[in-house]
Amino acid sequence: MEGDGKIYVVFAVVIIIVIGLFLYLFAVDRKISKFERKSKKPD
Amino acid sequence: MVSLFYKSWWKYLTMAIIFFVIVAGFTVTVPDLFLLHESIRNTFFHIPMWFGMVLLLLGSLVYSIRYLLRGRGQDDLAAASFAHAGLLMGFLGLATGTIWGVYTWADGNWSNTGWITDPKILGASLGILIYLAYFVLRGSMTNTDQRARVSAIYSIFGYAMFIVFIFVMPRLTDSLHPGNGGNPGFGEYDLTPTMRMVFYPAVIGWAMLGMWLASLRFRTMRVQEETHE
Repeated sequence: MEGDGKIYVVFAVVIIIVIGLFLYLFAVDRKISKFERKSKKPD
Repeated sequence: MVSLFYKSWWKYLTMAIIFFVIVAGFTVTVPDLFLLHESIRNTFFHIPMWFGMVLLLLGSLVYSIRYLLRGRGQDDLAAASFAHAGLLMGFLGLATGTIWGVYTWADGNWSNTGWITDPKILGASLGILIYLAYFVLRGSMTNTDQRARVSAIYSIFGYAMFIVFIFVMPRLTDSLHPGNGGNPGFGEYDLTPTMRMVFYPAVIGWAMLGMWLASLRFRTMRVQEETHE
């Protein structure tokens, strides 16, 4: 596999994927927190 | 540890560690080993999947035992959540390991199926089957107490067998897995100090990510339970 300049393409791809995944995880986390607060209200 | 599920600090830490591992994983100098060459970098991604799985399933075991001792439904839920995340990492580990193996040992030739009978792959598959069965078992029971008790007991035997299958069994016979016959998992590659600097954080980071996934599942199921009351 010549041309090691191309490894940075893979690198960029992975970073983008991972950022996307983390954003998703965060979104899910926040949504659950919202639900938890909602279901705790009638205390 | 369940209380940790609701905190955020370690989630930011997890992301930081994983970003570090990815950047460093792609850029540090690695030894150019026979057959593996640059793919040795998979050490930072594939192997932590297995460590993560072992740790998460250990967490599942711990909470199973806690349930048996205390009888709190929350412990059973935590046990199932950990098992769920651990199982996910197992699948990822198996998939990534397969790809890694085919493109090194089998030279990219998918029709060369000798790798399927490798003892380590078989051991890992058996481990996954054990925990798939765990969820089938849980699904078969509607009474929550019974389900919790039976799956907790199953957990205990299951984890013991899991450890035997992935650590003990592959070393009893010849294996294609790089370096089997050496130390469990480390003696495989000559981990240079530079690699260790990335590898240890990688194990920690990916395991923490698994815990984050477990925490999300736990909280989701819990909220669902509460909404149904």
